[in-house]
Amino acid sequence: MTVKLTKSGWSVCVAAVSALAGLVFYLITSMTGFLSGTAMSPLPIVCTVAAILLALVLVCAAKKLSPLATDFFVVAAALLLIAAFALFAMGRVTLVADVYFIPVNYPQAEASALNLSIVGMALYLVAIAAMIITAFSEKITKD
Amino acid sequence: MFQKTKVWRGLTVVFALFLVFSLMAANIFEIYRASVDAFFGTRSQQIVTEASDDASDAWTYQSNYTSAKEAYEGFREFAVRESQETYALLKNENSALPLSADAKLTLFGVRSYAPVYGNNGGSVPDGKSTVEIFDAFAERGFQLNPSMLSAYEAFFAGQEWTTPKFGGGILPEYASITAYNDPCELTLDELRGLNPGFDQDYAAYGDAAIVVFGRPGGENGDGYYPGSEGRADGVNTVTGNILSLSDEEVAILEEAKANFDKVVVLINACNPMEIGSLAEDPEVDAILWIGFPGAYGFYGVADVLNGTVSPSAHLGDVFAKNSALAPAMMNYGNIPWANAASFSDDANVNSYLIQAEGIYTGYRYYETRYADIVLGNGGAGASAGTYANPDGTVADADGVWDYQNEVVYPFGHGLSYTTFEQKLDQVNVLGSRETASVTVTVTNTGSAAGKSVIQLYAQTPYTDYDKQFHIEKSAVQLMDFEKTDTLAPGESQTITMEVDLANLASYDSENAKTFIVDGGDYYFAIGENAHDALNNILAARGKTTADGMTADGDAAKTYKWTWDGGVDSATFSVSPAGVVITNALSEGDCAMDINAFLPGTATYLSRSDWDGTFPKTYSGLAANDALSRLLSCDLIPLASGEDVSDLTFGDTTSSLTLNDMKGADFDDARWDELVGKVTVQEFLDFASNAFHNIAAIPSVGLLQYAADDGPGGSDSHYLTEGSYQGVPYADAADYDYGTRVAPAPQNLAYSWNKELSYENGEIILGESTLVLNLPIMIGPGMNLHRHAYNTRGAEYYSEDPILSGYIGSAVVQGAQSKGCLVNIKHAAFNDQEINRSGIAVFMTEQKARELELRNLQQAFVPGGKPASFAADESRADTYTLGALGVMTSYNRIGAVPPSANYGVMVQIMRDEWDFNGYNVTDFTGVALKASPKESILYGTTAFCGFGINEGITYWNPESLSGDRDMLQAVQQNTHYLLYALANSAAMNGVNATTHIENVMTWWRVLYIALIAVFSVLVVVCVIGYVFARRKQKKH
Repeated sequence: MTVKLTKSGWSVCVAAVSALAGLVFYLITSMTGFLSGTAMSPLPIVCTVAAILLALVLVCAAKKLSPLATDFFVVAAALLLIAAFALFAMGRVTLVADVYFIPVNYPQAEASALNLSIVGMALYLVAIAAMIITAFSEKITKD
Repeated sequence: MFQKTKVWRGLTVVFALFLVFSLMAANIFEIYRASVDAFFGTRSQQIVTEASDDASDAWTYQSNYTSAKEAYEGFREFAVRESQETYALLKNENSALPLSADAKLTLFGVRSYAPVYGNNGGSVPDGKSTVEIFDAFAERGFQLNPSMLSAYEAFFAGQEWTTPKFGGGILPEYASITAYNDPCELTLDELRGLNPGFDQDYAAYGDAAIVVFGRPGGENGDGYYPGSEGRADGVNTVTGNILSLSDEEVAILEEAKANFDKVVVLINACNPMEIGSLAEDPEVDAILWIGFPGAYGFYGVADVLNGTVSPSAHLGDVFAKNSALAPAMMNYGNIPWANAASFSDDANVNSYLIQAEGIYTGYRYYETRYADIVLGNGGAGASAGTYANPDGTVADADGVWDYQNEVVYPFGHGLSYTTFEQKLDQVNVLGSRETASVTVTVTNTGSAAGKSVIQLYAQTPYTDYDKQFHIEKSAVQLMDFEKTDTLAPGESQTITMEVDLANLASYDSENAKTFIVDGGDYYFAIGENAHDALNNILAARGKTTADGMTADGDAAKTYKWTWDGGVDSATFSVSPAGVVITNALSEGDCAMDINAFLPGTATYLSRSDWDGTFPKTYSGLAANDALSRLLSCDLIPLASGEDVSDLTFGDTTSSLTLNDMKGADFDDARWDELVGKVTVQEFLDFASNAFHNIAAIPSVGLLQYAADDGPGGSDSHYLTEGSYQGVPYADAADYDYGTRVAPAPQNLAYSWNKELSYENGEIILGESTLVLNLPIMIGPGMNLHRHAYNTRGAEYYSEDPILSGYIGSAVVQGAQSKGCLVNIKHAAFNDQEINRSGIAVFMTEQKARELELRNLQQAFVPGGKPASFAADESRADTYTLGALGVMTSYNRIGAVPPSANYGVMVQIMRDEWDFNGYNVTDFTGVALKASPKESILYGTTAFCGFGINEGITYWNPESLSGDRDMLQAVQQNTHYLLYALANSAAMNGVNATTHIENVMTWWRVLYIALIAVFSVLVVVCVIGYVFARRKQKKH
């Protein structure tokens, strides 16, 4: 079965891909480099995976969803991405403070962790923006 | 439109996003509340004290300033007065100085328009307060060549001063001329391009040319490098090093010499510049070292130039012709571990520094090698690359080491507009041989008023025992110093010094394993500088210029006595606190000698074979298993299941509070009761929230306070936040000025004035505490200058442990008299900025104990009480309590983090020095690189930084509660920190009713409003969606 996506549908795909990429950066920065070995919060992972699953449902089963369910899935996916972003960002506040407050006193690995984290957070923002576009749009698939 | 569900759906998500942003902002603002306050100039908390019966007694420490105007003027007045004593006249041919008060001057050099006012990182000068050089000079009456000024003015047109990399405010420096590899001097062609007539007024402003050469410095993560590595492309210098004059600077000097009869050079640098070419140039009439004068310091420069005051500063560091040839420079910079990459990133393993020069840093090297040559003990032969040619360049063939080629100005050098005669009246080595009384009379024999510095040096014998057990001796070492009052022509002053002979003792780590004194002849000598004093000693030993001395000495200025018997390993083997002194840094995990880990690696410089033991660069070392275990920062496993039932935490039965302990002694029996009230969680919270912050401990009534970085005043706070006894200044808004206004700390040391340093502590640190309600000020900086190339030297005092130690001790005493809880930084061995975080510093225990630690010890003991204080009954309560706080360093001590080095932290500081105060790490946070659990075991009370690294999983009561040693350390550290705070301004104005109230700052209003608005909008959107959905359904 072929699904013909509207611009809104493509937006959901962009959100899912960006969120997945953002998650990869979250995992990389949590498991390697300066923050390796630290206790990684599972919540951003749970939120992101849930959001991606919802997005996939929206794309693959849009026609089967009631309008109310579609609205719920769109909003829930967006909120989950927002939550993942917030948790990711708050988990990196110390890193930002370390690097930017006393900018001559951090190892290169810490700066790398921060820079990769910023890329990851930017990808989450792209995902959130894409979901917002979807939220304002009419349909996800073409009739 | 709003009938469509998609609109409500989209708006719900948008407003939810903004709501989350607002919540995040609120969370971050409250976490970093103190920093946010500092940034925005707000007060988000205030301490409120109700009127009570004990209100009049609550203010233990009294500020001198009841208004912002008084504070502004007080800081300014002191800064100018201090500055006048901190400029060292190095050369003054034919009395070129002083100038007439209304002299017409032409200023040369880019630094004559944009000088280095102070550090460019850490204790930066307050740009809001800064009075620029040309304004200060004009205000003092000098008339300045406008054509030259306009050329520089044109160069800087459109450029702005920068902002500090940390802290607040404005940094009075231009980025375009701030570099460590380029002096950025303008060429004459560039000047002509900026103003074709820049030279048209030479004749009209021809009383003198003032040429200013400078080099920046500061806490900046890098340093100066010797040779071509340290020079940018196209930069060529006299000696080949960046610390000597560049071609462009020489060209500017030549222009001045060619057009002016009188040429005066100002050295605007704290790194000792290589200025042999200036010293030997007959057309350079005068050289004045001005260091970093601070915000108002050019008033003081003008006052010295015009003779309002006679210069009275003396160098606190040797000025070499080629500082890169100092033996310490053979091991400097980034020397990485070969296997650094094999460590986890959070262990912060990078490089190492093997200080193979031993005790021979600064003047100790140059003067001792000179003395050995004069005494016929060898040292003249030198290998290529280890000594200087007459012009200061590096000799590239084996040859002869010559003091005159090595040293431009010796340690302690400084001239005056008048002359003084110093007479060594009397020396009495007191019965126990632990102290000596030395009396000196100074007479002003010239025609101008001025202050004179008495420099007392000593020489100890270098014996076969020393050679056998690898103990090194400097041929001359500073023992004490005093500065006279301003003496009118013909006036005399007699000063008696009580000299601590413990500073004569040498540390023998191999045999006696304690401090020893050799039997043999000892000399005291006064002199105009270290070299002059040494010459006086050599004269007393029968030597003359015929033996190779640079000048004949005066034996009458020496005193000789004999330490009878053999090696005395008893007299100085017990500390003033009654603790037996023995090896702390020679073996085991705390060892600082690289040979303890990698036997046979380092050969330390010895005067028994100068050339043969001259240091080589130790690069390419790999950490072996023993070192790797230490470098990994995880040394001691946490125990579990131990019986801790007898240890009391969180006792709620006591009504005792910290307020009841105000001013209590450390041994007060009530501390046990108070400490027992604190829970483990409270301690952990306190310890992990120490970035410019003193966290509250509610169980004992300790309130939360802000703290700030020094040592030159508050880094982040301004008089707009000022208050007097809890009441904000009524005129605060009119005085947006900081307290970082005095000359650099190094300038202060060059004043050689203990009383002035005490006053510096009272005002710059102490009044910052009281005016800005900052109980902790991080300072003074007391690391020694190991060599000329560390860019952070301006924040520290000197290369000499006694000059640094006594100046620092005076600052501490002054600061603590105002309730400032000092954090002496950095314990210890923070010898370079390059890789300062994580670098492993190695040296012999003799060097560690006789230089850096002897220096730091003075602040804790406390040592160096001024003779004037000793003679003044009203000062009897000074110098009775040593420093109550310390900040550890970034570098490792040996292979372990400094706070985890038991030898320094416990055995030496806590035990030998009886230090019972607050011990904070330097911006590590609770992270692996700080070895948190080991640091707690060894007395760390707080971890400056941003909270707890997620890798530290044991930072909770449950994880620690099975380890008896750890819990006992928590109690001990709680005792330390509460004792320190109870004896500080943290308790100022506090009584039983005192509490903290949050203040509704504009940023709190903003985030609360945003949260409220977006919450409402989210709800509205959801409701709107529901209605729209229902409406759609009906349709």
